[in-house]
Amino acid sequence: MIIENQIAIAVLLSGWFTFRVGALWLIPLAFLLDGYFGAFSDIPYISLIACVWYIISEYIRPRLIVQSHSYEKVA
Amino acid sequence: MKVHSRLNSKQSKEKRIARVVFIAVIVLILGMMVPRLLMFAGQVVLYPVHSVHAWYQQSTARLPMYIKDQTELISKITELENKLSVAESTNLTQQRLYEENMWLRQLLGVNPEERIAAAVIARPTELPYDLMQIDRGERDGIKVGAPVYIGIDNVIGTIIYVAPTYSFVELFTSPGFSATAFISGADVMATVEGYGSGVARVSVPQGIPLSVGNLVHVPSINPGVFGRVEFVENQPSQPEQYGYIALNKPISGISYVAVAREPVAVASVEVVEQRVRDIMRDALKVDTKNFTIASTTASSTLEKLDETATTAP
Repeated sequence: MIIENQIAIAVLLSGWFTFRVGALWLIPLAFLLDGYFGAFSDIPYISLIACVWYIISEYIRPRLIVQSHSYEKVA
Repeated sequence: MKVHSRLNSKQSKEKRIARVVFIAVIVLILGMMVPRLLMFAGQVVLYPVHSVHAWYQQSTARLPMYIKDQTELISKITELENKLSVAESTNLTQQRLYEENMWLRQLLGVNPEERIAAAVIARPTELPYDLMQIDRGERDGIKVGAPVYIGIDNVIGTIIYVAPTYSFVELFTSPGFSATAFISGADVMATVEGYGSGVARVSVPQGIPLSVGNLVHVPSINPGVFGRVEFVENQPSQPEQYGYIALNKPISGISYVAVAREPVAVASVEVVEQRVRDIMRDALKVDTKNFTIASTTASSTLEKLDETATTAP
């Protein structure tokens, strides 16, 4: 139950961080976590999930966050 | 112009994603080739987190202890609430079964006997252990040998001495006391022996599944539950195993008891055998006094009936 709660909190925080700052910094964090838990001797799931999440978020973020002013600037 | 800039930004974004993913893949491959490298980096960077976690888990300082205690208390409260809800439903079931049982007993003509309520006026350590004095005596209808109850069916002992205004109760846990008991769960009859100090012992042969929580009934007293097996002493090298039974309530906590009006109907083996012999003798006897000689005038036999049937027109 406690572990499930911790995972839920981590997922929520990651989501919040992704849409506020970006998912790029989650990748090095995932590397560190996998390194800390010794996952590189097996399969580094957190790092892989972070990479996939980065790719997905980069395509989702612009659709969720309205950046009309940035388009105007570019034009 | 706008469309062109959008295309440019999209292309640069894709390039950036590809670059990041490429670097990440390289780091992943490097990490899998040399796992110690990233392990070391992770340990160094996450050392503060690890330290805080270890401090929270192992420290006996006030703050972590307070947080841990609170967490434990919350989980304990939840567990107890669950147990309480289960117990409430069980209690309801027990109540229903009890009422149903009483109703069925009434239908079968088993009337609950009347009892005499009595207050305990002396108990150990004022008296020798396994002995109690109650404030009712001969004047109130107390008789020697009457079973003494706490609750509805929890029998704890018998009256051994009656004075006009008080009586003494000997508990089943007294040394030297023995009674035949039925152990439910193990489903076996065994002898309960008083062990002293509020403890009785039941011995059964090896191989019988005697376990903690088995109810011990005293069949000669109805209703008579003596208690539960609290501890089982079982040494495989010994021919018998022992179950220890303690009173449901500590002796010092018993303030009121109920005494049955009639003593326990004890039948010795000799008495039972004599009664069985009497019944068998009576069953074999033919009472000739009540016989009446019956006569009949009918003389038809099967041969005669056949003859009449063939000669008839």
